[in-house]
Amino acid sequence: MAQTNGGLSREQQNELYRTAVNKTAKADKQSGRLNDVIVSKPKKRRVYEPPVSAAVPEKTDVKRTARQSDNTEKISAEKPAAKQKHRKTTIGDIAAEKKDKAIRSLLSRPKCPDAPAVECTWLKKRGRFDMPLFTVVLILLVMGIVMMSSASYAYSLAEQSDSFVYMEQQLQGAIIGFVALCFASKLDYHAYIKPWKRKSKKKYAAENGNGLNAAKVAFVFSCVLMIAVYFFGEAVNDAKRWITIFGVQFQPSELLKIAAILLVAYMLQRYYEQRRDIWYGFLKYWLVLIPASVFYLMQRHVSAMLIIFAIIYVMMFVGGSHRGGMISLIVLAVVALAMLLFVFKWDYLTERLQSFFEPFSATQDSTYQTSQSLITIGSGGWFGLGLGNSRQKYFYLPESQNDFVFSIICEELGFVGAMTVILLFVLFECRGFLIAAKAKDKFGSFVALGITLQIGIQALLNIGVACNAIPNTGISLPFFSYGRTALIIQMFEVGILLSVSKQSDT
Amino acid sequence: MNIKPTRSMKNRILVVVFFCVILLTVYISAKLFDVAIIQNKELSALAGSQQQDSFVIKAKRGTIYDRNNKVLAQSTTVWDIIISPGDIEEYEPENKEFICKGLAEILDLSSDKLMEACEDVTSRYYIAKKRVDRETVEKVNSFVLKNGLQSISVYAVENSERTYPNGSLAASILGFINENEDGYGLEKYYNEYLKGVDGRVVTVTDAHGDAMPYDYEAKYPAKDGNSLILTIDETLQYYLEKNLEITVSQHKVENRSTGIIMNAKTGAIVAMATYPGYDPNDPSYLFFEKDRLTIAQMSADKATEEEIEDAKAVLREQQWKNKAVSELYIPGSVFKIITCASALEEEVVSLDSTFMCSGVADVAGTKIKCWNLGGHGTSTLTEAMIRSCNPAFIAIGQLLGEDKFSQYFEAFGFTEKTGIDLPGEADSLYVSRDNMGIVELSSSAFGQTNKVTPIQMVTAVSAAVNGGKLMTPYLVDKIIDSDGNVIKATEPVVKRQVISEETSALMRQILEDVVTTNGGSNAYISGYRIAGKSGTSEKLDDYYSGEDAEMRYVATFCAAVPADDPEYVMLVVVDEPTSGYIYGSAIAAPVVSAVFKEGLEYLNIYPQYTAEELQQQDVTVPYVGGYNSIRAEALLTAAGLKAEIIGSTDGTTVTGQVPGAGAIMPNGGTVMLYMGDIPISDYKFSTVPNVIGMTVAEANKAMADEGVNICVTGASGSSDAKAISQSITAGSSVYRGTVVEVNFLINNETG
Repeated sequence: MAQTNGGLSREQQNELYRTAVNKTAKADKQSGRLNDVIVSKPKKRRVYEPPVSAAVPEKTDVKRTARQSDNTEKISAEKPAAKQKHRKTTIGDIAAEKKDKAIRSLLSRPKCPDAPAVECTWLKKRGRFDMPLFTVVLILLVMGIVMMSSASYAYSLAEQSDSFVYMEQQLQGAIIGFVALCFASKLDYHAYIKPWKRKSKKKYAAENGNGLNAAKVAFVFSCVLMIAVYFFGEAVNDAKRWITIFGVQFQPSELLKIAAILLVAYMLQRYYEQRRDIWYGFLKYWLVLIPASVFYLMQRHVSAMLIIFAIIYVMMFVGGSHRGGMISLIVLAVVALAMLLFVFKWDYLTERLQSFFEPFSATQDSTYQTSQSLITIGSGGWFGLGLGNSRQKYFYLPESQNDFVFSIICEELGFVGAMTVILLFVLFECRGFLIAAKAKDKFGSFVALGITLQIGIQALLNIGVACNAIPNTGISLPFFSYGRTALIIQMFEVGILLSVSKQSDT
Repeated sequence: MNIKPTRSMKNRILVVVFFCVILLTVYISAKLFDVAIIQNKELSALAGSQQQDSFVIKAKRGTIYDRNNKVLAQSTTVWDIIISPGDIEEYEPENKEFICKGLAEILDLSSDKLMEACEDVTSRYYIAKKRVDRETVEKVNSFVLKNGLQSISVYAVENSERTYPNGSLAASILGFINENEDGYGLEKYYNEYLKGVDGRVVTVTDAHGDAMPYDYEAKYPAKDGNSLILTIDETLQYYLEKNLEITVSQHKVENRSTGIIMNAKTGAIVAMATYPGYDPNDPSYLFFEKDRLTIAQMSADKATEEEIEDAKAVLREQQWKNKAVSELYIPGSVFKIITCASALEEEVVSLDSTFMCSGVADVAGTKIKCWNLGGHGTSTLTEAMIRSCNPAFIAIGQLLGEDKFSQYFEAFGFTEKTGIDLPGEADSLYVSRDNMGIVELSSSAFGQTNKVTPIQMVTAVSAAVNGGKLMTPYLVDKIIDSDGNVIKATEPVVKRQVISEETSALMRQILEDVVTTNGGSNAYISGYRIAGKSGTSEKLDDYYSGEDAEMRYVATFCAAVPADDPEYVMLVVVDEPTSGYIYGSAIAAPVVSAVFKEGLEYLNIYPQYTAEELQQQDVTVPYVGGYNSIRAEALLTAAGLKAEIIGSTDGTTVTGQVPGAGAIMPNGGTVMLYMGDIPISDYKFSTVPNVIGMTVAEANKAMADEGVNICVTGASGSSDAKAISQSITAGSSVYRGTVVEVNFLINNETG
């Protein structure tokens, strides 16, 4: 079975796949309806699997070959790239073929594959979402508001002459965020990539997924907002990151993150089969990465750019993207960093590194932040000074309500309290990754992975900066740091995660 | 195509990615543990140091009072005016010149100097002026306020200053203390009581320097120092120092003088002085003129700066030393009191014992001379003491023997410190029993071998006359806290009974005889019963080197009053007089008598004259102007005076009298009365004769011959006394009857 299947041409496979998909698409409407009615009956559910089962042999094949040896996997992996030329490879031809392949891959790109049809039921009434994750997030949210209020107390009092201004705004964010969470968890996450039906007759475009969908539009929209911020934005602390739309202050860079994650997840699923191709498996993602990084750089938000890079890189790694590209990207990054550091001697970087190695040395701003953060953490001891009793928040520690809220947690709740927060985030990551692994489809998996990474990495890096485990970069702590937009979007992201978990296989 | 997540995807998520995340978490947690727990101490300290703003509340140092609660030393609050050039530069550089000019005017400084200081913008603490009073501070404050200046640019800092209102008075007792708590005198000895405990206010401030809204402030109030109430009497101290000063200048004393007045019954020190001393308000100033001359001489001789500084340091050290407790001297004949008391106690001699003196004693081949080279012949014990006969006391010492002598030497406290509450008490130097041979015993017996401190000597003498009790001398009567509660009161401590009450009574009698015999010694004060003994010691150890070396002496006198039940014992030690006089009786005894004369009256111990003394009492001349001659003469006769009337007595009244009313003149003196309208130009004149070197009788005659009244001071009764000074120079022409005061002194070792 495996051999015959393995011997199928790419076109044949594609054909087979398309018919299967079409069948599935037709069954889609039924299944959607049926799903609503008889989701709890596993026997009935199996009825809808046969269309999909057409692809099963390939799956088992890949699995097996992967088990057999790396070599065979390599060969099978090379197949998509050389799909138009299906002839048996002989040992003598390898060199010539490689050359040939390289030239071909450069000259002729494979046709853009059709996207799998998206099954979307809009509102998922049934299904249980991941309760542990929800609980963890709720605890983090409550702790976050309490600690942010405590940490912002002095700044709020000094700047707004009311010690609860920050807290009120964060509460607003939390309430809106909670609504967003509920909505997102109810909403079938496929809605983000469900092709928009257009009135034009180009039905095909809509069907093969080349049309618009929410993820694409959100990405373009947030890019437009980022450009708008550049021209009409409001500066806070020297950085232009906010824009007011209809009287609501808003930070588009947060939106850009989730939009990018959704889009990349969509692309990873759509081009999964072509993942070994340099274009579909690697270069195409730069259509997302380049604008995102340019816009983040325009906002002088280097850390956000790095995080987006890291998230997308890990998503691509999990998606098994083009190996050469992935490795060369790492090499490129290291070389670029070394160049910046040793050849151009970029002040920003050397300064950050100096404050990392000698936090108590100089009086640069970043060094001051780091040293004050260390003092703050260090004065907490095992159990801290008690909730609300931080002294460092009285203007010693800059950004105590924002990037350094974790230091205040250490000071007030001690090492024990800080470890509790870290463990909560670890739990969050566990659940997130599990949801990703158990997701119904690749898109769900990548979305769950991206969201978990975004929140998890941000948390880890923020904590790492606070205790000087990594050089100082401006990263906020999810659920804790002050920022309505960020909080609302984080809650929304959690909602998406829960939505993914609702449809997971168990 | 399968849309489900592939196996490898799952593996990558759950193994690779999750592993990396956990790895990162562990690394960060470890780092967090390092910062929060391992570095907790240092970082908390850092946090504290930046958050806590603590300032010291200086404890007020205790006051030192004399026994009548007169202040001898106290701390007062003063202010230092501080300029912060750094803050001026930062906040109000445009006001710089204005501030300097304004401050210069208030503080009486040169504004250029302030401007110069303000140029150094790195400094934030420039002391513009130290120790200003409250009034100046208020001026500075209103200057700052009125002109809207920054309060951190110019401000006052409270400080405390130790002042000694009486200057050099009692300096050697009070001492002083420097910032390192090194010092001298009571200030050093009782520093722990005096200094108190500094308080502290710890506030927690935010990064802007404002207080945090929490109740973090911790106040540790300052505990003011305790105060000392001394046994010293400021007035007696003054009398003592005044008379020591007179002696030092009169006898050109080279090596300072010291005096101690001690309560014989309790050991309380009533006065203790070293002259010349120093002014504790400015201790490094060389107080002794001779020292300043030495330095001036060095400068003139082009000594290097360093040499001069070294010399100054040595001289300062010297002047800060309390001679009464920190320096040794050879007690000389005063020590005979101890030898005599020991011998009487051991009953090896009695009042009836007799001793032979030929002017020199031969002790085991060593010839020891008596001060009277002619020899005293045969003397009883009392006579030997009166004559201060060395051979007699050599004999007494030998009768006592080395064992007993050493035993009593120790019993009288000469081998140990007295335990007086002063720092730096010196250890005596003495010949121990093991090293004592007959020669050492003999010389020790009249006090010419062992070196002791003046305080040891006065304590021992006091034991000899007070009934035999060796007391511990002390200076502090009570220590009171800042609220006036007594913290510690000193009870007199009897160290031991050295001799019996009977022996002590004998000693009192012998010593009283020493002062009163032959009409009284230089220490004799009419109306008071004084017991005493003089001493003149050769500074053998310091100067006995070579034939032509000039011998230096220490002149001492020790006295107790009243002789029958001594209340006060006083010792005066004059080290190296160079006026030609050497005897303690001639140099130290007048100090004793002068201090007692003034002091006893101050202490409400009034003279009780014998009939004989009453007859010799000086009288005050009454006012007789306006009376007729008979009435006037009667008035003068009633006062014990004679009248010589000049001019017609018929219907006239007295228009002039010499000496005038209120003058002090001897009983039986003659007052010139001028009657009627005799002009002043017709008053009779006399020429003052030179009586220096005459005995009292000779001087009386010489004065009477010239028609001048004589007022005898000093050793008036003794036939050995010679006039040493007269108040009106010989050859002066004065009105007849004018009183000339003549001072007599016995210049030998008797008494």
